[in-house]
Amino acid sequence: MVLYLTKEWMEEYRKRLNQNKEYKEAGKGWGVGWNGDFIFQIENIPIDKISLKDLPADVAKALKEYVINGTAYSYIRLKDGECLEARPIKDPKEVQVGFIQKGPYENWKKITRGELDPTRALLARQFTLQGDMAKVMRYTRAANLMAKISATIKTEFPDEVYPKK
Amino acid sequence: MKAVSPKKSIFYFLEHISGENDMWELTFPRTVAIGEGALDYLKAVEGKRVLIVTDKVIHKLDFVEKVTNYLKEAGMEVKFFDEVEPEPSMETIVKGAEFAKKYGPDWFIGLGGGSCMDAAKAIWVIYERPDMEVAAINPLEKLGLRKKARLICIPTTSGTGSDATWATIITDVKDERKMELSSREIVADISILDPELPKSMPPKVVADTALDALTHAIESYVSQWRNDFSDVLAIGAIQMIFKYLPRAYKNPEDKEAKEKMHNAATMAGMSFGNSQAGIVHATGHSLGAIFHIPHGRTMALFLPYSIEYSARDAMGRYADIARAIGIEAKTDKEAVEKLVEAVKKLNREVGEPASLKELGISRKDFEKRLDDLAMRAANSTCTFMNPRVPDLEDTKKIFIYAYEGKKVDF
Repeated sequence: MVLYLTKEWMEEYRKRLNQNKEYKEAGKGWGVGWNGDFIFQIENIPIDKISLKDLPADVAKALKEYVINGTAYSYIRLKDGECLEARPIKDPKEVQVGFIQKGPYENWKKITRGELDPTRALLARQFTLQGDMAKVMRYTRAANLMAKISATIKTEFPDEVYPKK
Repeated sequence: MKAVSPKKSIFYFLEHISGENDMWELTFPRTVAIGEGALDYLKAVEGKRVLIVTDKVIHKLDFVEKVTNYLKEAGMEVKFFDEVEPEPSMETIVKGAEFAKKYGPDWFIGLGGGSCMDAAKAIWVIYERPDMEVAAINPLEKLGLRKKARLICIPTTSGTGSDATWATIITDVKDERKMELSSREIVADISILDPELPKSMPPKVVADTALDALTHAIESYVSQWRNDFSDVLAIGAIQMIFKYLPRAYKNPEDKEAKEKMHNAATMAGMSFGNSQAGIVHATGHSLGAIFHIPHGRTMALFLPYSIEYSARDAMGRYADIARAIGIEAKTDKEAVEKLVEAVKKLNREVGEPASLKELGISRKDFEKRLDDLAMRAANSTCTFMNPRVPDLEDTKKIFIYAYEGKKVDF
């Protein structure tokens, strides 16, 4: 089990994207000659409902560091069907990306559990996506696979595993 | 699963509708004028200048004069952009938008089959948003339409449903790709379904377009995004198509059958427009873009193969459809097998080919383009709404089975 919102989770996600042959094929050409990198902006994280003292010290420290005003940012570098880097970042201005996907923590959880169709969620405004839409439309399969692959990670959510009593 | 007797009322299906509970939004045309004399509705439309987007064949037909006269009676100036080709290209859209820019219409009318209505939608977008590229029309962005003009769709064929949907299919000729563009904002303000208009359709077009409508309804009913509203419209359309298509095809003078088919097509459009299509559209768009085959014919061809492939994950839904058209079966599996047979029989009855081979595509050409066909279909947005989502390998196999005319067994 990997704890969501941690760098370990992001690293596991990167590995799984790169191990997936179908994603490699579907993402071929993505970000070649243009910026295909993403920021996932996770909002309304119930940090006040997480018992930080019960978390492993390094995880608690990281959460304090990366969740600012209930929002966390994940940086995903994608190019030509490969994930070059995936890590939490403190400030979205640290990096330059082509796309920013924003949504509340509860919806990200549903995506990670495979309970929410990512395309439908975008259309129903449960997420917003900024960036060159014409490019995204051409890579629907890769985008759907990204969500599907995240759902293969056995994930624990800090507010569920370490709730404040 | 216990046997369910056929021909149950619509309430049977209302009890069996499933669908998603997540938030969803439905979009329909504001007004749908139906029945004999529906074109009269144009006399009451308020505006100054209309641009009718159509093709050269339609432009020469008798009813166009009636449309023009009604609009003039409403006090409007009328101009035509009649350069829409089958499977309209991005270049045509840009040209149409240039024409519109010079003319300054406050109404667009898409008059014709799916190509004309799709072109009207896209031209309208670029006319209002000259900063946008055609390929960038997408449902996630606010287009801010209706500041300059609004849209009326008048279908002259009975199949596309484009008068009721938020999709526009535009071809990227260079890339041999049909772009499935969409935005809720491009749903027509007014759809006019006058049964007089489809009378001029030759039987082959009646068949192709009707099978397109049937595919819309069936794919909608099994779509992952189906909902209570799309279900009822889909089942209604399926029942009407099975009942009236053979009559409309065999007897061009059968007014009742033609009218029912015209309405069924828009009902199917309203249904799949709010639930989405599936792999018949994904594979059909791919085949159509590469081998230039009419859209409806590709739909007819892939529909049985798609049911065979998808039934594994939507057996009950396809069985519902079977029973809605009066098929008797002891099990869902048997109902689905009989549904496939019924679709094949209907295809045969209206002269549709049963395989890609029968369609006249040579084995050499097919094999040469197989990877492209599969890749385009696998990347189609429609693929992900299908009840069983094929990977690239399965997509390729569906093409191979459809080429040979083999029953899907994987």
